Amino acid sequence: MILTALVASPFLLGALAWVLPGRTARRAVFMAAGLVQAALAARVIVNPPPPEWGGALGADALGQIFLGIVTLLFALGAVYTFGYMGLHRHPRRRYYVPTMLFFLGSMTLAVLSRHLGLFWVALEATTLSSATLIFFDRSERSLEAAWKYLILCSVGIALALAGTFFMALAIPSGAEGSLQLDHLMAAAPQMAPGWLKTAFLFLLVGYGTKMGLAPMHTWLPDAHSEAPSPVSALLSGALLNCAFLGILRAFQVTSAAGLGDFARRPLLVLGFVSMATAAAFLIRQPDYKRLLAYSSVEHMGILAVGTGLGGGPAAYGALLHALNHSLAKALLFFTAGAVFLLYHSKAVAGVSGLARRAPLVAVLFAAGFLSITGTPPFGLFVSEFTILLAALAGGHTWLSALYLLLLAVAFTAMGAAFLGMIFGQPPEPPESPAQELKGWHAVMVLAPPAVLAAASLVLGLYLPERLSALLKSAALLLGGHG
Amino acid sequence: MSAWVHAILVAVLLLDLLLSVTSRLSVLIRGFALQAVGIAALALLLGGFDSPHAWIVAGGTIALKATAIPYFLNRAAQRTNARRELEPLVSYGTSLLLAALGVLLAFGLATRLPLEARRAGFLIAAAAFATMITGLLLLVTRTKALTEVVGYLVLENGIFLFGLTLLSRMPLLVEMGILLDVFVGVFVMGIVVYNIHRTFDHIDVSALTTLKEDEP
Repeated sequence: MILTALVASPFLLGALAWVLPGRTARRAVFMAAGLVQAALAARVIVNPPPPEWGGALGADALGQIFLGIVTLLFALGAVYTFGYMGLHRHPRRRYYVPTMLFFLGSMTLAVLSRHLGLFWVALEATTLSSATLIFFDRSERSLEAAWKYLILCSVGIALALAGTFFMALAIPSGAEGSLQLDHLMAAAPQMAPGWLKTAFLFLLVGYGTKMGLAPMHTWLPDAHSEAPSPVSALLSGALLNCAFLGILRAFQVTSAAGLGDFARRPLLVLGFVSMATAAAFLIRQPDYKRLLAYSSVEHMGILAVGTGLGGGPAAYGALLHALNHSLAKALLFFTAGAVFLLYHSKAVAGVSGLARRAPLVAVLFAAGFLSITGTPPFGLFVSEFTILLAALAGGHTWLSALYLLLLAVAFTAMGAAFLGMIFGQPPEPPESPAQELKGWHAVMVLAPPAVLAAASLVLGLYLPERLSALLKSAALLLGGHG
Repeated sequence: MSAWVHAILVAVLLLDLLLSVTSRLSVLIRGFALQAVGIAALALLLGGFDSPHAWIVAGGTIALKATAIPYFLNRAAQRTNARRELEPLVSYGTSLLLAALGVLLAFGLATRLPLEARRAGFLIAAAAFATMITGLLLLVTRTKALTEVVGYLVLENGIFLFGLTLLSRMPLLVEMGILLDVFVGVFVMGIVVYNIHRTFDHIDVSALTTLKEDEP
């Protein structure tokens, strides 16, 4: 029951918010949804319930990790939204709250579904609900971004549907044939390898498009930079991971069939292509929200590399990295929203002297920068280092060197941009009447990134026993041993 | 496999060729809807007339893909004054040639894949691949937003056709979810196209080029 409730409550509350008149009522529903979701998800993660819907809905270790990420970011995003919208002269849109809740519901369904067909339906639903959030501004740029996002991701996901069907065709005639994960894993050793390989490639390209792996990433910088900041945080921190989960599910089945080696190579290639493409576009990137978006492409590449290296430690590192990246990226997008409120500019050149103008925002921005670039003692350092050690242990010396080089380029490129924004002289005199971050709205804007910065720091210093055990059992699902 | 199934699959293949040469949006929409009707009929022929599952899938396909989506697309075309695709990236002759090559490629793929005749008939796979290729062709070579939406729908038709061979293995919930996703997808795309038309006064997506990287 609890899993059904977890999936159903955002949709029901979203429908309620749709019919409710008045902004205050909708806000109350939104906050309530965030709280209910957090409570239910915590219960599921602490005490995993048995599968429901005939095994199609369940919370295995992988699902629990991604459920935790989605729920945490949404709850913080709900708080942030009110502060941000309170300070920003955004147009008010009645559909914002219902659409956000549908978006949450479809992401929750995606992370909990253990049926590849159901997963597909959920992931396509995330595209549709988030597209309307991207063109929230109705500006020319946001419309263009929404159009690219819709058409490229829909086509990409259509290919993943073809891949899903190919996988069903690979099931031998005798076996219990459904696209439910347990059935697939059981039937995997007898599957027709030709169909299964085709299926994996289609799923990789399809879900890879949605995950933002280069060269299918072209929609991502537009969509993530044009969306309002709370939405950007969810798109980068939560939604990309959902698509990654789709690739992991396909990888699970392919590994169970003994074709893990076949599956690892394209993952490695796409991973390094993504890291390299992102590094190239990070250099002298003039727009700081696009900078963050390209950084997402880079980190999705790292996830693909970690999975592609294979083996327990690398898979463990990749999953830990997914968690760390979500925390750090949401921190950065939340803070970028605050910076935008202060300077009314998304240009790196339009922001300077943040340390003097708003010291607290500057500290958060700096923490986000150090965290996302994997500087110790933040969490991403641990996960990036884990993946590096796994690569070295696997004898991939050249790949390790390339990995380090690309990380260094990203660090330098982002460092140059962030130094310029944080230090230097604040623009004087301010062209527009300076907007100050004050009052309750400011607290709601700054508290969520502060929580995330603390979490990112804690994960770099100390990994709780429970979390580590959860990551280990999830890595085991990916065919890692220990 | 009955003669009816063959006849419908051949019709689907011919519609692929028609879709790749027509410049009129109304013909494109009608061609897509006819394909959807064919798929609904195939769902019944393959799933059996006594199977409620097959009836629901066929009914859903007719209601959403052959009725609601074409109605919605036609309305969007009227509101944005889109009648013809005047500037495709390749000429219609080349388009036809590419589509014909696509059909050949589809048959080649269908023979090459380790296909079990028992489950997925050779001709179904070939027709499904050909329809997918036609959809991709429309997506790549056309520049009007609504034509691209039809391209996406044709691609999805091909995939759904492929899925028909799995009718017994797929829970109804998933098939309905797929249909619903496509419907809502077209609805959302329609809204974006309408807003693009209002903001830019055209729906030529090749002219949407503000968002790109400036040379550093």
